[in-house]
Amino acid sequence: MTNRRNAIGALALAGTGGWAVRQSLTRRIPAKPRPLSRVAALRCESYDKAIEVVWDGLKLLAPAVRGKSVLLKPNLVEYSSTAPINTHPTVIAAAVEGLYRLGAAQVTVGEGPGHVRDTELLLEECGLGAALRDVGKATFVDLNNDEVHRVQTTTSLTALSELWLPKSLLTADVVISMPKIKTHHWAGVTLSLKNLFGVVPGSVYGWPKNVLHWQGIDNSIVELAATIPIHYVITDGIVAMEGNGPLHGPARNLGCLVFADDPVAADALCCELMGIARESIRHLVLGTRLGNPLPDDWLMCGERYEALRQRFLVCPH
Amino acid sequence: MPVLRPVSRTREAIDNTMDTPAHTELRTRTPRTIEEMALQRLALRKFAPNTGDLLGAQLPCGAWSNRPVTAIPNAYTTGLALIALANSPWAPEVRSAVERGFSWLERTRGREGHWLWQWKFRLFDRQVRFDPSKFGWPWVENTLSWVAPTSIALLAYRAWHRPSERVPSALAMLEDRACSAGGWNAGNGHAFGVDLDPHPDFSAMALCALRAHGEGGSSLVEGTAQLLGRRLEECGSAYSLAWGVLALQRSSGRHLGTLVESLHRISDPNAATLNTATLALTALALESPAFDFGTRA
Repeated sequence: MTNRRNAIGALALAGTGGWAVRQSLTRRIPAKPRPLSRVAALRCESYDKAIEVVWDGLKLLAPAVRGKSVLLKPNLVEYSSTAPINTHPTVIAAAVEGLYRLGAAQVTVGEGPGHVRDTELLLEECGLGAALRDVGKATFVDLNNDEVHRVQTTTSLTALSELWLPKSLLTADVVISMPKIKTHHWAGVTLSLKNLFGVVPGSVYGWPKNVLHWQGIDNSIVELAATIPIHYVITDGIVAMEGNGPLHGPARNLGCLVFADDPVAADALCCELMGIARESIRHLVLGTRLGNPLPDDWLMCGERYEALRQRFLVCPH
Repeated sequence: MPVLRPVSRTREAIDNTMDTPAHTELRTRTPRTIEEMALQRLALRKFAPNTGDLLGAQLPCGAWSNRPVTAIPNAYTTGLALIALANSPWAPEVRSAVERGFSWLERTRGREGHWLWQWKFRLFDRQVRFDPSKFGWPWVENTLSWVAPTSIALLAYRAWHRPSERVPSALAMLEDRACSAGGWNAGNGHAFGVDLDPHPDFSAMALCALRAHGEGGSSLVEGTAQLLGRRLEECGSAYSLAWGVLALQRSSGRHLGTLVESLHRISDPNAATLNTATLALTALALESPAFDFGTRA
């Protein structure tokens, strides 16, 4: 009896302790009053329609890019001819075109792939190199090899008091995260926040960026998101990935593009579309104060997202 | 102490191959990273470049940081710097720098080299399949061993003919982390129940390292050489092609000539647009025979 009482007591203590730790971590991010977040989920059943739908989404989002330099950060990890790993080149090229139409002074596409050093080969294999040449107005910068500058981190969620980050990221007036909707075997999902791993330069930290794994993937995601402003999100959910993401899961036709001016809202909406509880994604819970995760705080600009919702398989491991 | 060996190739042989557009363009470049600096000095070693800036960039701990401004020690870069020094004119200060560089490599290991983390990977963290008792070098401290820094560090040990207890474990680590079909990626052959695909550059680095340490006859090395040759047949990237040529120069396969032709075709008209590291690797690959990272001039 005493043993059982002790065990229950220990469990309660552990539970309370865990809750207290989570609360204290969450509170390392200062709460700020926030306006409603503009979000839109637009139906787009194939990449043939992406140019049109990206333009519709940009008009709804109305990003403040006139006269500004814009960095588009897609998700390019490695190439597979069968798995939808990377943000589709058509969506990226459409965003470049659209942003120039909205008056952007300069649009740069930047990524630092986490698994490959040969970014040139990846660009050609995944088709982004050709897509950007067709657009003709966008330059690509390999964030793994860009000039770096020291930035103090802001949350103490990791032991990294500073990060060396690419100049192209730090000098851009507007940063737009362009993830692919995918499940992730460690982080649950990989969306606009997790996409920030790609800005950490391999030429400083290596391939993969294992430093971030050892600091805790979820904590690192939120640390990066608190340190680096993401102004807008354009998410490729036309063909998404479920199961053993981010590389080996099967394709899932979700048939939509997501637009937002708040990465937390964007990722929370994507979780809704994937049928994954936002509360089960630790980095979204930790990063709650970085944006508006709740639908009550969203200004929905597009169609009702409920009609697009599916139920994704998560990683079985 | 290192055993110093005489130059393995004549100066004339090198001279004759140092007139490609890659070499010409490389002489105009100012390196931005230590990787670029070390590779540039290797590719232009005929001109006996000054090693002062390479020596001056060494950190007090003995390592080199790839980005000197960050002062973050990097095993990959340290290995490359040591290989560059092995092919530089001898000077008294080089000996001290080399000793300190190897001293840092000796005490730096992937985190799985610690018993505590070995238990973690054996008992709890088992989604990525590898043997944590076999370890090499991490990119940066307090992270796991990865293929590129381990391969380049192994080549540095070979270039200086330096014996170490670390070498057998690092060679075993490379064999353990190979992909099931041959070749290597950054360092995981199998994760979450899936066999992962190899990448050309990491495969080439590991091949160079294993061959330099006398493991050239293994089925893994031979299989990877064939795989790499086929993978690069249609490759349009000078960086991967250059690594492929450097790795396959002692291969019995039919691919080497084709890869050299492809590398010429891509790099000769585009030398001005290649980044400095790619340019230097291209120049090294287009020497005849291609440069051997495991040798010391």
